[in-house]
Amino acid sequence: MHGILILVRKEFLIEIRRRSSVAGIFLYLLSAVFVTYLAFGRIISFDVWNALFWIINLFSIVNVAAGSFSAEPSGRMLYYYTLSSPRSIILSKLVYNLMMAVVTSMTGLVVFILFFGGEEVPFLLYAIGILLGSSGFACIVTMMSALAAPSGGSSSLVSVLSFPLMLPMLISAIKASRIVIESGFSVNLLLYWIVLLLLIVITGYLAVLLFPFLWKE
Amino acid sequence: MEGIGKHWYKVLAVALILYSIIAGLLLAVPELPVIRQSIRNLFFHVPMWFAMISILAVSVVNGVLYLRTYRMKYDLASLEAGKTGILLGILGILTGMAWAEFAWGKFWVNDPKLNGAALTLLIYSAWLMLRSSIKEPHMRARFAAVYSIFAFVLMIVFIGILPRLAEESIHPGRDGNPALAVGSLNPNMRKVFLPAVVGWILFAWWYTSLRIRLAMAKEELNELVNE
Repeated sequence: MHGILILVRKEFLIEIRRRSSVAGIFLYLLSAVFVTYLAFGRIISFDVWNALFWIINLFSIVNVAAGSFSAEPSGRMLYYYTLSSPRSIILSKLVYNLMMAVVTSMTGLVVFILFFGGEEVPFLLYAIGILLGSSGFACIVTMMSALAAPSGGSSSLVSVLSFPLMLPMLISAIKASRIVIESGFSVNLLLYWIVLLLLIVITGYLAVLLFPFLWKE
Repeated sequence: MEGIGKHWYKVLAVALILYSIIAGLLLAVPELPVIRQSIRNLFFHVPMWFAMISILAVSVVNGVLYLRTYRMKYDLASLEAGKTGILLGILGILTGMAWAEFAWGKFWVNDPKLNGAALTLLIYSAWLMLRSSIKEPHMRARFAAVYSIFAFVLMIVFIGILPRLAEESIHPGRDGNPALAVGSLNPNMRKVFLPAVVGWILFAWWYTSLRIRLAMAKEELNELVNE
Protein backbone atom coordinates (compact mmCIF):
# COMPACT_ATOMS: atom_id res chain seq x y z
CA MET A 1 0.00 0.00 0.00
CA HIS A 2 2.77 2.35 1.01
CA GLY A 3 4.69 1.37 -2.11
CA ILE A 4 1.74 2.23 -4.31
CA LEU A 5 1.42 5.67 -2.75
CA ILE A 6 5.08 6.35 -3.33
CA LEU A 7 4.75 5.33 -6.96
CA VAL A 8 1.72 7.56 -7.42
CA ARG A 9 3.61 10.42 -5.87
CA LYS A 10 6.46 9.71 -8.29
CA GLU A 11 4.07 9.97 -11.25
CA PHE A 12 2.86 13.31 -9.95
CA LEU A 13 6.37 14.66 -9.55
CA ILE A 14 7.30 13.60 -13.08
CA GLU A 15 4.17 15.32 -14.34
CA ILE A 16 4.84 18.52 -12.49
CA ARG A 17 8.47 18.68 -13.50
CA ARG A 18 7.85 17.89 -17.11
CA ARG A 19 4.67 19.92 -17.39
CA SER A 20 4.30 18.83 -20.99
CA SER A 21 1.41 16.46 -20.39
CA VAL A 22 -0.71 18.77 -18.28
CA ALA A 23 -0.19 21.72 -20.59
CA GLY A 24 -0.70 19.45 -23.59
CA ILE A 25 -4.01 18.16 -22.30
CA PHE A 26 -5.32 21.58 -21.49
CA LEU A 27 -4.28 22.86 -24.89
CA TYR A 28 -5.87 19.85 -26.56
CA LEU A 29 -9.14 20.43 -24.74
CA LEU A 30 -9.17 24.12 -25.48
CA SER A 31 -8.39 23.63 -29.16
CA ALA A 32 -10.94 20.89 -29.61
CA VAL A 33 -13.71 22.86 -27.95
CA PHE A 34 -12.73 25.99 -29.84
CA VAL A 35 -12.79 24.24 -33.21
CA THR A 36 -16.20 22.83 -32.30
CA TYR A 37 -17.32 26.32 -31.33
CA LEU A 38 -16.19 27.73 -34.65
CA ALA A 39 -17.93 24.93 -36.51
CA PHE A 40 -21.21 25.01 -34.62
CA GLY A 41 -21.52 28.50 -33.19
CA ARG A 42 -24.44 27.70 -30.97
CA ILE A 43 -25.66 24.23 -30.12
CA ILE A 44 -29.41 24.04 -29.78
CA SER A 45 -30.14 20.36 -29.27
CA PHE A 46 -28.88 18.53 -26.21
CA ASP A 47 -28.14 15.39 -28.22
CA VAL A 48 -25.53 17.23 -30.25
CA TRP A 49 -24.15 18.94 -27.14
CA ASN A 50 -23.85 15.57 -25.40
CA ALA A 51 -22.30 13.78 -28.36
CA LEU A 52 -19.71 16.49 -28.98
CA PHE A 53 -18.73 16.64 -25.35
CA TRP A 54 -18.29 12.88 -25.17
CA ILE A 55 -16.17 12.77 -28.30
CA ILE A 56 -13.86 15.47 -27.00
CA ASN A 57 -13.75 13.88 -23.56
CA LEU A 58 -13.00 10.44 -24.98
CA PHE A 59 -10.11 11.58 -27.11
CA SER A 60 -8.66 13.72 -24.34
CA ILE A 61 -8.60 10.83 -21.93
CA VAL A 62 -7.07 8.48 -24.47
CA ASN A 63 -4.43 11.13 -25.04
CA VAL A 64 -3.74 11.45 -21.32
CA ALA A 65 -3.45 7.76 -20.54
CA ALA A 66 -1.92 6.44 -23.75
CA GLY A 67 1.62 7.37 -22.89
CA SER A 68 1.60 5.78 -19.44
CA PHE A 69 4.04 3.05 -20.23
CA SER A 70 6.04 4.32 -23.13
CA ALA A 71 6.92 7.71 -21.68
CA GLU A 72 9.61 6.25 -19.48
CA PRO A 73 13.02 5.29 -20.83
CA SER A 74 13.36 1.52 -20.97
CA GLY A 75 16.18 1.27 -18.51
CA ARG A 76 14.13 2.92 -15.83
CA MET A 77 11.35 0.37 -16.17
CA LEU A 78 13.85 -2.34 -15.24
CA TYR A 79 14.83 -0.30 -12.20
CA TYR A 80 11.21 -0.06 -11.03
CA TYR A 81 10.74 -3.77 -11.44
CA THR A 82 13.61 -4.50 -9.13
CA LEU A 83 12.10 -2.19 -6.51
CA SER A 84 8.42 -3.05 -6.40
CA SER A 85 5.91 -5.67 -7.40
CA PRO A 86 4.05 -5.51 -10.72
CA ARG A 87 0.81 -5.09 -8.81
CA SER A 88 2.07 -1.89 -7.24
CA ILE A 89 3.20 -0.57 -10.60
CA ILE A 90 -0.08 -1.17 -12.39
CA LEU A 91 -2.10 0.05 -9.42
CA SER A 92 -0.10 3.24 -9.23
CA LYS A 93 -0.54 3.88 -12.95
CA LEU A 94 -4.26 3.13 -12.69
CA VAL A 95 -4.71 5.44 -9.71
CA TYR A 96 -2.73 8.19 -11.38
CA ASN A 97 -4.60 7.91 -14.67
CA LEU A 98 -7.92 7.81 -12.82
CA MET A 99 -7.07 11.06 -11.10
CA MET A 100 -5.97 12.57 -14.39
CA ALA A 101 -9.22 11.39 -15.97
CA VAL A 102 -11.24 13.14 -13.27
CA VAL A 103 -9.27 16.35 -13.73
CA THR A 104 -9.41 16.17 -17.52
CA SER A 105 -13.11 15.42 -17.75
CA MET A 106 -14.13 18.07 -15.23
CA THR A 107 -11.93 20.65 -16.91
CA GLY A 108 -13.41 19.61 -20.24
CA LEU A 109 -16.92 19.97 -18.89
CA VAL A 110 -16.19 23.44 -17.51
CA VAL A 111 -14.60 24.61 -20.74
CA PHE A 112 -17.46 23.16 -22.74
CA ILE A 113 -20.06 24.88 -20.61
CA LEU A 114 -18.07 28.09 -20.95
CA PHE A 115 -18.33 27.99 -24.72
CA PHE A 116 -21.70 26.40 -25.24
CA GLY A 117 -23.61 27.09 -22.08
CA GLY A 118 -25.30 24.38 -20.09
CA GLU A 119 -27.97 25.86 -17.88
CA GLU A 120 -30.54 23.17 -18.69
CA VAL A 121 -28.16 20.37 -17.75
CA PRO A 122 -28.51 19.11 -14.15
CA PHE A 123 -24.86 19.48 -13.31
CA LEU A 124 -24.40 16.98 -10.51
CA LEU A 125 -26.20 14.09 -12.19
CA TYR A 126 -24.43 14.75 -15.45
CA ALA A 127 -21.04 15.04 -13.76
CA ILE A 128 -21.44 11.69 -12.02
CA GLY A 129 -22.02 10.00 -15.37
CA ILE A 130 -19.00 11.82 -16.84
CA LEU A 131 -16.76 10.77 -13.96
CA LEU A 132 -17.83 7.13 -14.15
CA GLY A 133 -17.36 6.96 -17.90
CA SER A 134 -14.03 8.75 -17.87
CA SER A 135 -12.68 6.53 -15.10
CA GLY A 136 -13.61 3.49 -17.14
CA PHE A 137 -11.81 4.85 -20.19
CA ALA A 138 -8.72 5.56 -18.11
CA CYS A 139 -8.60 1.97 -16.80
CA ILE A 140 -8.82 0.47 -20.27
CA VAL A 141 -6.35 2.83 -21.92
CA THR A 142 -3.82 2.30 -19.12
CA MET A 143 -3.89 -1.43 -19.71
CA MET A 144 -3.75 -1.07 -23.49
CA SER A 145 -0.82 1.27 -23.13
CA ALA A 146 0.98 -1.53 -21.30
CA LEU A 147 0.10 -3.94 -24.11
CA ALA A 148 1.35 -1.59 -26.79
CA ALA A 149 4.56 -0.64 -24.97
CA PRO A 150 6.91 -3.26 -26.51
CA SER A 151 6.08 -2.16 -30.03
CA GLY A 152 7.07 1.41 -29.27
CA GLY A 153 3.81 2.43 -27.65
CA SER A 154 2.51 3.98 -30.86
CA SER A 155 -0.60 5.94 -30.00
CA SER A 156 -2.42 4.56 -33.01
CA LEU A 157 -2.00 1.01 -31.74
CA VAL A 158 -3.18 2.06 -28.28
CA SER A 159 -6.21 3.75 -29.82
CA VAL A 160 -7.05 0.77 -32.02
CA LEU A 161 -6.79 -1.59 -29.06
CA SER A 162 -8.77 0.59 -26.67
CA PHE A 163 -11.67 1.88 -28.75
CA PRO A 164 -13.56 -1.38 -29.19
CA LEU A 165 -13.17 -2.16 -25.50
CA MET A 166 -14.34 1.30 -24.49
CA LEU A 167 -17.50 1.19 -26.58
CA PRO A 168 -19.69 -0.56 -23.97
CA MET A 169 -18.74 2.10 -21.44
CA LEU A 170 -19.24 4.88 -23.95
CA ILE A 171 -22.68 3.65 -24.88
CA SER A 172 -23.75 3.25 -21.26
CA ALA A 173 -22.40 6.68 -20.39
CA ILE A 174 -24.14 8.36 -23.30
CA LYS A 175 -27.41 6.63 -22.45
CA ALA A 176 -27.04 7.75 -18.84
CA SER A 177 -26.47 11.34 -20.01
CA ARG A 178 -29.61 11.16 -22.15
CA ILE A 179 -31.65 9.96 -19.18
CA VAL A 180 -30.26 12.80 -17.07
CA ILE A 181 -31.54 15.42 -19.45
CA GLU A 182 -34.81 13.70 -20.28
CA SER A 183 -36.09 12.62 -16.92
CA GLY A 184 -33.58 13.48 -14.23
CA PHE A 185 -32.85 10.90 -11.58
CA SER A 186 -34.53 7.54 -12.04
CA VAL A 187 -34.00 3.85 -11.42
CA ASN A 188 -32.90 3.44 -15.02
CA LEU A 189 -30.20 6.04 -14.48
CA LEU A 190 -29.00 4.23 -11.38
CA LEU A 191 -28.90 1.02 -13.39
CA TYR A 192 -26.60 2.56 -15.97
CA TRP A 193 -24.37 3.99 -13.26
CA ILE A 194 -24.13 0.54 -11.70
CA VAL A 195 -23.22 -0.93 -15.10
CA LEU A 196 -20.49 1.68 -15.49
CA LEU A 197 -19.19 1.02 -11.99
CA LEU A 198 -19.21 -2.71 -12.70
CA LEU A 199 -17.25 -2.19 -15.89
CA ILE A 200 -14.67 -0.09 -14.04
CA VAL A 201 -14.31 -2.78 -11.38
CA ILE A 202 -14.05 -5.58 -13.96
CA THR A 203 -11.46 -3.83 -16.12
CA GLY A 204 -9.46 -2.63 -13.10
CA TYR A 205 -9.45 -6.11 -11.62
CA LEU A 206 -8.44 -7.73 -14.93
CA ALA A 207 -5.70 -5.15 -15.37
CA VAL A 208 -4.20 -5.83 -11.95
CA LEU A 209 -4.60 -9.58 -12.42
CA LEU A 210 -3.02 -9.75 -15.87
CA PHE A 211 -0.34 -7.05 -15.75
CA PRO A 212 2.22 -9.33 -14.04
CA PHE A 213 2.25 -11.38 -17.24
CA LEU A 214 3.35 -8.34 -19.21
CA TRP A 215 5.86 -6.73 -16.94
CA LYS A 216 8.85 -8.87 -17.74
CA GLU A 217 9.91 -6.62 -20.57
CA MET B 1 -15.30 -48.76 -39.33
CA GLU B 2 -11.97 -48.31 -37.70
CA GLY B 3 -10.82 -44.83 -36.97
CA ILE B 4 -14.39 -43.58 -36.60
CA GLY B 5 -13.60 -43.38 -32.89
CA LYS B 6 -11.99 -39.96 -32.93
CA HIS B 7 -13.79 -38.73 -36.04
CA TRP B 8 -17.31 -39.22 -34.75
CA TYR B 9 -17.86 -35.54 -34.10
CA LYS B 10 -16.96 -34.60 -37.65
CA VAL B 11 -19.48 -37.02 -39.09
CA LEU B 12 -22.05 -35.78 -36.61
CA ALA B 13 -21.33 -32.16 -37.53
CA VAL B 14 -21.80 -32.75 -41.22
CA ALA B 15 -24.89 -34.87 -40.66
CA LEU B 16 -26.52 -32.32 -38.37
CA ILE B 17 -25.82 -29.40 -40.68
CA LEU B 18 -27.06 -31.28 -43.73
CA TYR B 19 -30.16 -32.19 -41.77
CA SER B 20 -30.70 -28.60 -40.73
CA ILE B 21 -30.34 -27.39 -44.31
CA ILE B 22 -32.72 -29.97 -45.76
CA ALA B 23 -35.27 -30.00 -42.97
CA GLY B 24 -34.90 -26.25 -42.54
CA LEU B 25 -35.98 -25.64 -46.10
CA LEU B 26 -38.71 -28.29 -46.19
CA LEU B 27 -40.20 -28.04 -42.73
CA ALA B 28 -43.52 -26.36 -42.18
CA VAL B 29 -42.89 -23.09 -40.39
CA PRO B 30 -45.41 -20.75 -38.75
CA GLU B 31 -46.38 -18.08 -41.20
CA LEU B 32 -45.63 -14.84 -39.37
CA PRO B 33 -46.44 -11.44 -40.84
CA VAL B 34 -43.66 -9.57 -42.65
CA ILE B 35 -40.92 -12.18 -42.28
CA ARG B 36 -42.97 -15.15 -43.50
CA GLN B 37 -40.74 -17.81 -45.02
CA SER B 38 -37.50 -16.02 -44.23
CA ILE B 39 -37.91 -17.21 -40.65
CA ARG B 40 -36.02 -20.22 -41.93
CA ASN B 41 -32.90 -18.11 -41.70
CA LEU B 42 -33.21 -18.78 -37.98
CA PHE B 43 -31.71 -22.22 -38.59
CA PHE B 44 -28.57 -20.70 -40.05
CA HIS B 45 -28.07 -17.20 -38.70
CA VAL B 46 -28.50 -17.98 -35.00
CA PRO B 47 -26.47 -21.23 -34.90
CA MET B 48 -23.59 -19.35 -36.50
CA TRP B 49 -23.58 -16.91 -33.60
CA PHE B 50 -23.71 -19.68 -31.04
CA ALA B 51 -20.81 -21.36 -32.82
CA MET B 52 -18.89 -18.09 -32.91
CA ILE B 53 -19.26 -17.53 -29.19
CA SER B 54 -18.28 -21.09 -28.41
CA ILE B 55 -15.19 -20.92 -30.60
CA LEU B 56 -14.15 -17.56 -29.14
CA ALA B 57 -14.55 -19.14 -25.71
CA VAL B 58 -12.18 -21.88 -26.90
CA SER B 59 -9.76 -19.16 -27.98
CA VAL B 60 -9.83 -17.46 -24.58
CA VAL B 61 -9.48 -20.74 -22.69
CA ASN B 62 -6.44 -21.62 -24.77
CA GLY B 63 -5.02 -18.18 -24.08
CA VAL B 64 -5.42 -18.75 -20.36
CA LEU B 65 -3.85 -22.20 -20.69
CA TYR B 66 -0.89 -20.59 -22.42
CA LEU B 67 -0.48 -18.11 -19.57
CA ARG B 68 -0.46 -20.96 -17.09
CA THR B 69 1.84 -23.37 -18.92
CA TYR B 70 3.78 -21.23 -21.45
CA ARG B 71 3.41 -23.95 -24.06
CA MET B 72 3.19 -22.58 -27.60
CA LYS B 73 0.61 -25.09 -28.77
CA TYR B 74 -2.03 -23.27 -26.72
CA ASP B 75 -1.17 -19.99 -28.37
CA LEU B 76 -1.50 -21.60 -31.79
CA ALA B 77 -4.89 -23.04 -30.88
CA SER B 78 -5.99 -19.67 -29.51
CA LEU B 79 -4.99 -17.91 -32.72
CA GLU B 80 -6.74 -20.35 -35.05
CA ALA B 81 -9.86 -20.45 -32.88
CA GLY B 82 -9.96 -16.66 -32.93
CA LYS B 83 -9.67 -16.59 -36.72
CA THR B 84 -12.49 -19.10 -37.04
CA GLY B 85 -14.54 -16.95 -34.69
CA ILE B 86 -13.99 -13.90 -36.87
CA LEU B 87 -15.02 -15.90 -39.94
CA LEU B 88 -18.21 -17.07 -38.24
CA GLY B 89 -18.91 -13.53 -37.12
CA ILE B 90 -18.63 -12.29 -40.69
CA LEU B 91 -20.94 -15.07 -41.87
CA GLY B 92 -23.40 -14.27 -39.11
CA ILE B 93 -23.45 -10.61 -40.05
CA LEU B 94 -23.88 -11.42 -43.76
CA THR B 95 -26.81 -13.74 -43.09
CA GLY B 96 -28.19 -11.16 -40.71
CA MET B 97 -27.93 -8.41 -43.31
CA ALA B 98 -29.68 -10.53 -45.91
CA TRP B 99 -32.46 -11.21 -43.41
CA ALA B 100 -32.63 -7.56 -42.38
CA GLU B 101 -33.08 -6.41 -45.93
CA PHE B 102 -36.05 -8.72 -46.26
CA ALA B 103 -37.65 -8.11 -42.89
CA TRP B 104 -36.93 -4.44 -42.20
CA GLY B 105 -36.07 -3.06 -45.62
CA LYS B 106 -32.54 -2.02 -44.70
CA PHE B 107 -29.25 -3.86 -44.48
CA TRP B 108 -28.31 -2.34 -41.15
CA VAL B 109 -30.11 -0.53 -38.37
CA ASN B 110 -28.85 1.24 -35.26
CA ASP B 111 -29.63 -1.50 -32.78
CA PRO B 112 -27.72 -2.69 -29.68
CA LYS B 113 -27.41 -6.31 -30.79
CA LEU B 114 -26.22 -5.40 -34.27
CA ASN B 115 -23.76 -2.96 -32.75
CA GLY B 116 -22.59 -5.74 -30.45
CA ALA B 117 -21.97 -7.98 -33.43
CA ALA B 118 -19.97 -5.33 -35.27
CA LEU B 119 -18.08 -4.58 -32.07
CA THR B 120 -17.08 -8.21 -31.67
CA LEU B 121 -15.50 -8.15 -35.10
CA LEU B 122 -13.76 -4.87 -34.27
CA ILE B 123 -12.35 -6.22 -31.03
CA TYR B 124 -10.97 -9.36 -32.59
CA SER B 125 -9.55 -7.48 -35.55
CA ALA B 126 -7.72 -5.28 -33.05
CA TRP B 127 -6.50 -8.50 -31.42
CA LEU B 128 -5.07 -9.67 -34.74
CA MET B 129 -3.42 -6.27 -35.16
CA LEU B 130 -1.84 -6.56 -31.73
CA ARG B 131 -0.47 -9.98 -32.61
CA SER B 132 1.08 -8.72 -35.81
CA SER B 133 2.77 -5.82 -33.99
CA ILE B 134 4.90 -8.06 -31.76
CA LYS B 135 7.64 -10.09 -33.35
CA GLU B 136 8.90 -12.30 -30.57
CA PRO B 137 6.68 -15.42 -30.37
CA HIS B 138 6.42 -15.84 -26.61
CA MET B 139 5.85 -12.15 -25.96
CA ARG B 140 3.24 -12.12 -28.69
CA ALA B 141 1.52 -15.13 -27.16
CA ARG B 142 1.43 -13.55 -23.71
CA PHE B 143 0.14 -10.19 -24.89
CA ALA B 144 -2.40 -11.74 -27.21
CA ALA B 145 -3.69 -13.96 -24.39
CA VAL B 146 -4.08 -10.98 -22.07
CA TYR B 147 -5.93 -8.96 -24.70
CA SER B 148 -8.17 -11.86 -25.61
CA ILE B 149 -9.25 -12.14 -21.97
CA PHE B 150 -10.24 -8.46 -21.96
CA ALA B 151 -11.84 -8.90 -25.37
CA PHE B 152 -13.97 -11.87 -24.39
CA VAL B 153 -15.14 -10.47 -21.06
CA LEU B 154 -16.14 -7.13 -22.56
CA MET B 155 -17.73 -8.82 -25.55
CA ILE B 156 -19.92 -10.90 -23.23
CA VAL B 157 -20.87 -7.70 -21.43
CA PHE B 158 -21.72 -5.98 -24.66
CA ILE B 159 -23.67 -8.83 -26.19
CA GLY B 160 -25.29 -10.12 -23.05
CA ILE B 161 -25.91 -7.20 -20.74
CA LEU B 162 -26.39 -4.05 -22.76
CA PRO B 163 -29.13 -5.32 -25.05
CA ARG B 164 -31.13 -6.35 -22.00
CA LEU B 165 -30.88 -2.82 -20.67
CA ALA B 166 -31.88 -1.17 -23.90
CA GLU B 167 -35.46 -0.03 -23.92
CA GLU B 168 -36.47 -0.87 -27.44
CA SER B 169 -34.76 -3.18 -29.86
CA ILE B 170 -35.92 -4.07 -33.34
CA HIS B 171 -33.85 -7.26 -33.20
CA PRO B 172 -35.77 -10.18 -31.68
CA GLY B 173 -35.13 -11.65 -28.27
CA ARG B 174 -35.18 -9.30 -25.30
CA ASP B 175 -36.79 -10.41 -22.10
CA GLY B 176 -34.31 -12.88 -20.71
CA ASN B 177 -32.38 -14.14 -23.69
CA PRO B 178 -30.91 -11.87 -26.34
CA ALA B 179 -30.69 -14.74 -28.79
CA LEU B 180 -34.03 -16.41 -28.71
CA ALA B 181 -35.91 -17.85 -25.79
CA VAL B 182 -35.90 -21.49 -26.79
CA GLY B 183 -39.04 -22.13 -24.81
CA SER B 184 -40.98 -19.71 -26.91
CA LEU B 185 -39.81 -21.27 -30.14
CA ASN B 186 -42.35 -23.23 -32.13
CA PRO B 187 -41.78 -26.92 -31.20
CA ASN B 188 -41.56 -27.87 -34.87
CA MET B 189 -38.81 -25.36 -35.44
CA ARG B 190 -37.07 -26.46 -32.28
CA LYS B 191 -36.57 -29.87 -33.91
CA VAL B 192 -34.36 -28.29 -36.54
CA PHE B 193 -32.94 -25.41 -34.54
CA LEU B 194 -31.30 -27.29 -31.68
CA PRO B 195 -29.56 -29.90 -33.88
CA ALA B 196 -28.42 -27.04 -36.12
CA VAL B 197 -26.82 -25.27 -33.16
CA VAL B 198 -25.00 -28.44 -32.12
CA GLY B 199 -23.98 -29.13 -35.71
CA TRP B 200 -22.53 -25.65 -36.28
CA ILE B 201 -20.62 -25.69 -32.99
CA LEU B 202 -19.09 -29.08 -33.83
CA PHE B 203 -18.31 -27.87 -37.33
CA ALA B 204 -16.55 -24.80 -35.95
CA TRP B 205 -14.38 -26.98 -33.71
CA TRP B 206 -13.55 -29.28 -36.61
CA TYR B 207 -12.66 -26.37 -38.88
CA THR B 208 -10.46 -24.92 -36.14
CA SER B 209 -8.71 -28.23 -35.56
CA LEU B 210 -7.96 -28.44 -39.29
CA ARG B 211 -6.50 -24.94 -39.25
CA ILE B 212 -4.38 -25.83 -36.23
CA ARG B 213 -3.02 -28.91 -37.94
CA LEU B 214 -2.27 -26.87 -41.05
CA ALA B 215 -0.47 -24.23 -39.03
CA MET B 216 1.56 -26.86 -37.16
CA ALA B 217 2.51 -28.52 -40.43
CA LYS B 218 3.65 -25.17 -41.83
CA GLU B 219 5.76 -24.57 -38.73
CA GLU B 220 7.43 -27.97 -39.02
CA LEU B 221 8.09 -27.33 -42.68
CA ASN B 222 9.67 -23.98 -41.84
CA GLU B 223 11.89 -25.58 -39.25
CA LEU B 224 13.00 -28.30 -41.67
CA VAL B 225 13.74 -25.75 -44.37
CA ASN B 226 15.71 -23.55 -42.01
CA GLU B 227 17.95 -26.32 -40.75
